[in-house]
Amino acid sequence: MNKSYKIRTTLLFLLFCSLYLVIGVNLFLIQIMQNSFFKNLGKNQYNVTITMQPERAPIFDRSGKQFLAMNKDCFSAFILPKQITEKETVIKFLKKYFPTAVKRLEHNKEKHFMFIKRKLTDKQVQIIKDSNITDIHLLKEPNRFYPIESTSTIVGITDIDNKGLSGIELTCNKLLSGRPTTFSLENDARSGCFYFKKETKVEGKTSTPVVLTIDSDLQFLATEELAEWAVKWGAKEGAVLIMDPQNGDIMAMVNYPYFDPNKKQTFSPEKSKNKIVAECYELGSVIKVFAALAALEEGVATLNEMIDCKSKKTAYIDGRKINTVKAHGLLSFSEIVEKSNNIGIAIVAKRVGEKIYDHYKKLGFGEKTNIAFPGEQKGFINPPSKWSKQSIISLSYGYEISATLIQLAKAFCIIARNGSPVQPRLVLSSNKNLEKNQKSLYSPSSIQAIKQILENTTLRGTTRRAKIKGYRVMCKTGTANLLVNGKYSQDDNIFTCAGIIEKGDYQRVIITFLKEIEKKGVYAQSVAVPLFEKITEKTLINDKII
Amino acid sequence: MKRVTFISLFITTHIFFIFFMIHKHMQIIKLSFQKQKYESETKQLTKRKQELSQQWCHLLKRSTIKKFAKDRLKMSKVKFSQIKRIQPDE
Repeated sequence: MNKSYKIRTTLLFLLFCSLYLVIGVNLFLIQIMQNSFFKNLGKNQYNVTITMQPERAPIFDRSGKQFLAMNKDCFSAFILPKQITEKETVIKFLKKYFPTAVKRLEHNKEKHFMFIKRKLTDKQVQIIKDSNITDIHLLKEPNRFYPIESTSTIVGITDIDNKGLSGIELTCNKLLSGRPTTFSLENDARSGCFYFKKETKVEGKTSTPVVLTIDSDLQFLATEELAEWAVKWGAKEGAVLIMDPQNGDIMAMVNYPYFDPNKKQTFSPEKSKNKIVAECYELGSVIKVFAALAALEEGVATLNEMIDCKSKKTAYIDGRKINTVKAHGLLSFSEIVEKSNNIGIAIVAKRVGEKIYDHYKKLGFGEKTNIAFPGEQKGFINPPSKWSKQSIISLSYGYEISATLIQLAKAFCIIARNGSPVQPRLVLSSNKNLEKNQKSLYSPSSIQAIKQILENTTLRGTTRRAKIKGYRVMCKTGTANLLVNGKYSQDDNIFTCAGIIEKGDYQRVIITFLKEIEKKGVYAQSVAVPLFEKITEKTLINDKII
Repeated sequence: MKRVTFISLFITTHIFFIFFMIHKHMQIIKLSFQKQKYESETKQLTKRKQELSQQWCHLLKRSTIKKFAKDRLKMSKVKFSQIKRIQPDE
């Protein structure tokens, strides 16, 4: 073996050694020195953590089939300000169709992402698609759709991020939205569509549908009827409430006017308010029913007791002036309520005295009904400690006491249920209030007597028009003056008719209400009673109680 | 048993085990992908169902039905007094 061959072999050996050394050093650098960096790089490529928000659950009516709120995807438009290729075209387009976005773009030039507009209308989506501008992108986002507009004041709406903003959407937000689940995925690097391993990091909760007590058919019928009568009388506001006194289920709850929840531009706080729950009124003569019930329970009056109503439209009791619609002489206690005589009821209320306050409290006035609806008002009853000489008189015919219509319905339910109270409910799945053997608040004799008075009111009193052959209708009207600039206005009234309809085991409590009508000098018997009659008929047809 | 036979048997068994392990893993991945495919299909079908439910709701809109009944079918409102329950023997 010659010398040059040996040198060449050694050189070649050294060359390979140095190459292996380079590889070894590189391996050392990658595997040991930069271990965490490359490990993270690999992890980021393969391992993804995603948080999945469950779809917002629907809201159903009591049948469980009719949707009151459901999901509907909508589009939102966005741009990537840093990556805009055709700036002039984009700005020209935005100026024409989305002028507010241009201003925002000027302030967010350096941002990576900017929404042009969220929740686009179908027309806006089409305009963007037709423009063929590649810099403007569309993104699908979840949205809500409400098939029955008249339930907007009950169901409520969600905000831009699909979180409950009002009504049941707000009350049951936790149930409806569920809880998000966080997964760790080992991704398929080629397609990116599949994963090898899925691990749950944070366990979420699926959303739960909410079933309301509302009967969507009855709601529609009541809405139609209320709108017709509100337009006919030129009323500023109106409401209809239909309740099943046996379980407290609210079958229909209509407010007039209402907004279309699918057209958020029609939204206004006033129209979105559920006035049946969130607005208090001095209801006037309809409260006489409860003053009479208090008198019967306290044993200070009997059905046939004759009371002198002074034969005047204006009389004085303890120096306090009382006006009544029609002058009556001697009337029986029952007739006082039937004919809605203010003087007569004031005389009886004076006998009850301060206890009238306790009775009103017992009936649920001045307290929230706990219907679990946002913005519920508790109303007000002037307490005896603040009474003037006028107070007992006013309280007997519905002043110095303000109540919501749901409180009024609840109080009528007590009469319908022979004295035992019931909690009104809007959500069918909540059955906490179905305690059947609730303690009776009133004696059977008082309840029977007040039912008789109410029936007589329909048979020959102020609510004659509500009479329906073959059914026991027990109702009472109320025409109250509204407070305008601190004074009771004779021209601004609210008209109420509240009552119970019975046939066998079937019972419904119905309230009709109209506020501030155009025509002056009319009473609830010609405004709220015909509406009550129509609503009752529709209810009976809908419930097939013929 | 001869040494050579033992070693070859040992190696062959191991090769088989490794093969089955790989096969099992491949099957798991295949089935997992299939499952994911079905999952995405279910998602699409749910979306479609949702769209159809919306259309269904539009069709069931009571005001539309009423308008149709009034205008096209020439139907009119029924008065309460006009309704009578017919007994089976009548």
